[in-house]
Amino acid sequence: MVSEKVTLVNPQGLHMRPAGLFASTMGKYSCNVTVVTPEKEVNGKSPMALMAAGIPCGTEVEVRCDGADETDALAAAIELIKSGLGE
Amino acid sequence: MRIRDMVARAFCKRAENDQASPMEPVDAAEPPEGPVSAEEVLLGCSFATRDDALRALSKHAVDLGIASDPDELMDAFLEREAEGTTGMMDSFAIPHAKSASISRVAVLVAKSRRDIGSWETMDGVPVRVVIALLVPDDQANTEHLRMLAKMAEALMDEGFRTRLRRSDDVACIAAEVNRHLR
Repeated sequence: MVSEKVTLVNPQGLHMRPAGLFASTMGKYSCNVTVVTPEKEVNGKSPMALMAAGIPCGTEVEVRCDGADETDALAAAIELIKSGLGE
Repeated sequence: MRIRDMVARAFCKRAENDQASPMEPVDAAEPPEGPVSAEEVLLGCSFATRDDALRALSKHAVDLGIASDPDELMDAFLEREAEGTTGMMDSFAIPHAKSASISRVAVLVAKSRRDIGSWETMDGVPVRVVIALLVPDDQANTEHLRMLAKMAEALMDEGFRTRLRRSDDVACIAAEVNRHLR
């Protein structure tokens, strides 16, 4: 299992569109992906779970990847979040 | 106690006993209050397309004094759809609009008797239940995120989805949505 902390920079937080983008990107990897917020741990491959977490801008989250392609998945996740998830 | 709440309670109690249409009873002492009122729930609609649904919701929002311009509101809905579909899962969609023409935070619910075409969803199931979120520009970030999170959490609850799909009572539907928006 590998993990890394990263801060959400999306001005509107992790709302529907960026949540969907993150989940669909992580869905390409076979490993388990978990996003850990100060309040909860959510399935990083579930757009609904990510939206329900209501993660606001500026929140530091920890992304955990556990499985065969965990290193690639984590790198992709961190890059995606740092780049603003397309926003 | 308002008359509509008494009617809602009576209906919901009857529905609770109906195994084909389960609905949690409205609390006898304190019916769920929130942004959704019975007048903000549209039933028996027949939307052929996504844009038909959004257009009807835009008009209804103006009729209720929630927004000032139906075209501007429609544009806000479409702008959001262009970023990515708001069609979710299990026949639900959560379109949302942020606009200066919106005067207050509001949630409109519409149920269509037919599958709504041209509305891409996450699971491929056609949309039948629309929960539209309207947020004024100056509250966009915080309230928008909170309400979306609450609705996403609600949609993960199979009981919530079932109750909304099965209910044909505007007060019960409003109460159910409000319960999850608190």
